[in-house]
Amino acid sequence: MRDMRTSFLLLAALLFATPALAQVDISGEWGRNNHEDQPHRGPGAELGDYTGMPINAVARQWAESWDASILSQPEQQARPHPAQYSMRGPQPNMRIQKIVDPVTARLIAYTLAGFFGRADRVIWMDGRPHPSEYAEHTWGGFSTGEWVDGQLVVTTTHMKQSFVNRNGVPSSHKGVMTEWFIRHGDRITVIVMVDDPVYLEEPVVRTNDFIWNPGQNVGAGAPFETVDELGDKPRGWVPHWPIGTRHTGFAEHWDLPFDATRGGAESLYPEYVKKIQEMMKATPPASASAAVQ
Amino acid sequence: MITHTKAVPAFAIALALLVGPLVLAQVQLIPADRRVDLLVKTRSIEQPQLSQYAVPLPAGNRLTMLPVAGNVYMVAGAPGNIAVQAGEDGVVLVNTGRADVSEWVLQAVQAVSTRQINIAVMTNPNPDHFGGNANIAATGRNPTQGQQQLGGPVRNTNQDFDAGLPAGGGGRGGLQAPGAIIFGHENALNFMSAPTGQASAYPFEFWPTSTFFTPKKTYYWNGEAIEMISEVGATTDGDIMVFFRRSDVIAAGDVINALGYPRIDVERGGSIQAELEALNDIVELTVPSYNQQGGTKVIPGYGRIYQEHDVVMYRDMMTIIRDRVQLGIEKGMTLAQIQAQRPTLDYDGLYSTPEYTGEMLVETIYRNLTAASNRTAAAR
Repeated sequence: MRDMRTSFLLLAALLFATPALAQVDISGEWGRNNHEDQPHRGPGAELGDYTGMPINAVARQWAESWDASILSQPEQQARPHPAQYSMRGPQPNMRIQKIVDPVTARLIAYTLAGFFGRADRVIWMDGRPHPSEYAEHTWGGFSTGEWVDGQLVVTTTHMKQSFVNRNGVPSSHKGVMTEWFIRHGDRITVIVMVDDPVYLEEPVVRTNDFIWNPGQNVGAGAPFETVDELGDKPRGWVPHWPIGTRHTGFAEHWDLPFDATRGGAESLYPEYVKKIQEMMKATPPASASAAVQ
Repeated sequence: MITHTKAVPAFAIALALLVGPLVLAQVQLIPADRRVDLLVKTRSIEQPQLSQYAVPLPAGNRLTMLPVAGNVYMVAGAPGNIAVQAGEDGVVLVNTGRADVSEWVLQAVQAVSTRQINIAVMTNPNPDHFGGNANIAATGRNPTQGQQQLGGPVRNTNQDFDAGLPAGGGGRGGLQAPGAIIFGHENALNFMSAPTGQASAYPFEFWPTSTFFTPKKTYYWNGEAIEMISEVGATTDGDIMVFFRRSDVIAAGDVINALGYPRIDVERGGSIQAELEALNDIVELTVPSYNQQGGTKVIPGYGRIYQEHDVVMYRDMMTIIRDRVQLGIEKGMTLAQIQAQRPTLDYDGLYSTPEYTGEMLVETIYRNLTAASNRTAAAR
């Protein structure tokens, strides 16, 4: 009888322990690692720097046409950072909160706050489907999550058309983002994979690391005020560079062959180093050309 | 002195007063089994959006109905979008969809209201938008038609109209068709009808029954001002958009097609310049509630619900494509040479469709701009 009881208890423990082990509490205050991809935490990527970005020719035309003056439009001044980029940009000290059904204690969602411009996110954990294709898109998108091998895997749709880098590299409203939240003690690694059928040859994958910071207390955020920066510009003014514009400043500054700064899927892989070396033989970088002259 | 025991209830009452209206407004549109989502709402800005809670429709109905804001819903897939404003006075529709889905449209309306359809507004003479006019208006009642005269039973049903019974209150009769009133731009009526003795493009039952040619026509229904704003010349000479002021929703018609480029019909009076003016009008009317999120909602002619940022991206796209074509013309390039530059390449993945490609849009803009400059030269 005692053996039976012990076996029953062991079985019950095994049955009930599995979800507890699979789920890790990720709620709390998380501070960003400011030194990680540091330029993105401040000014953002330089104009014309598409290195390591698997963009296609379509995205390149968009990015080369993009004029930073467009951020002077009143309707662009208050833009937050979109979900496709917000983990990477400045200010993502995160507050993750658990939303639990007060009656059943079932986990309904996690809310994420702290991103630039307060583009809050919700990760629904109750198994609900993603909304209709006709539902509106938001900066945070619509996210659902599930626990897989102790990692929270999040799928996000319904994101706004925006950017994956702040130098004009675009993201479309047709993209899907998958994230893995992996907690190791007082650290969380968030792997972000953006798959965009319009602008990418293959998904952009980036990792972001956060440190538990219980004294942080992410602030409430504030609505941005838009002001008149346009002066006498006509109604509907949309600044942009004409087709064929080449932003060569980045290549010149870093003494790189221009073609090596153009991105594309192949530029993600180690073999691309050889190609850059061949480019440098065929076309010397800007400084070498200047020295010869 | 406020004691602790007094302060707690006072705080609770104050909190209820502050949060109550917000929560009550949300509760109406969030399904009962999702009310716990209001907890999420208290901790997030602009999340969740109401449009993620689809209105359940009867089995077999292949349309989609989403709450948009205030009293306004969107019926999608008809194949265009229909805005539905429902309230105590009755129901207003902006566009009626294609004729073959009228039954589903009526089911959708009944899912949110037991009242009659009083008003239908045509945003432009596109059969995808007015095809249901005859079927749907016939089920409703024109609010501008008077009540039965005193002294007898009050009867306001379609049977009264069909039986030719008098209405009173200013008199009925004239050329008013029975059923809901159909507002539209005068040019839309001109396109659909024909001078006496000639065959019209569409039967009488499809025509707007009350038209206007002024910059704006207004009506107050279901507790809010409804503005019908002329956008003549955007995609045709009969475009209007509808602004529900209290609900803060704009039904933009075909000025915005979230599934494709706008189909500017130059033959019927559309032009790229008027299209841009219309888009800029919408940008000026929309106000986001927080950092380019939420606030005024926009129902396009087709596709998903827009917020201001989405309209801005659409406006920017059309302006940039126009500028690229214009620059080519100024350089003396031919249409083929401009098309070879692929001025829509960076937008084709978003909006080009087999029915209306980026190349076709470039041709439309090119012909529109060159015709306009030829007219200007001739005038000089």
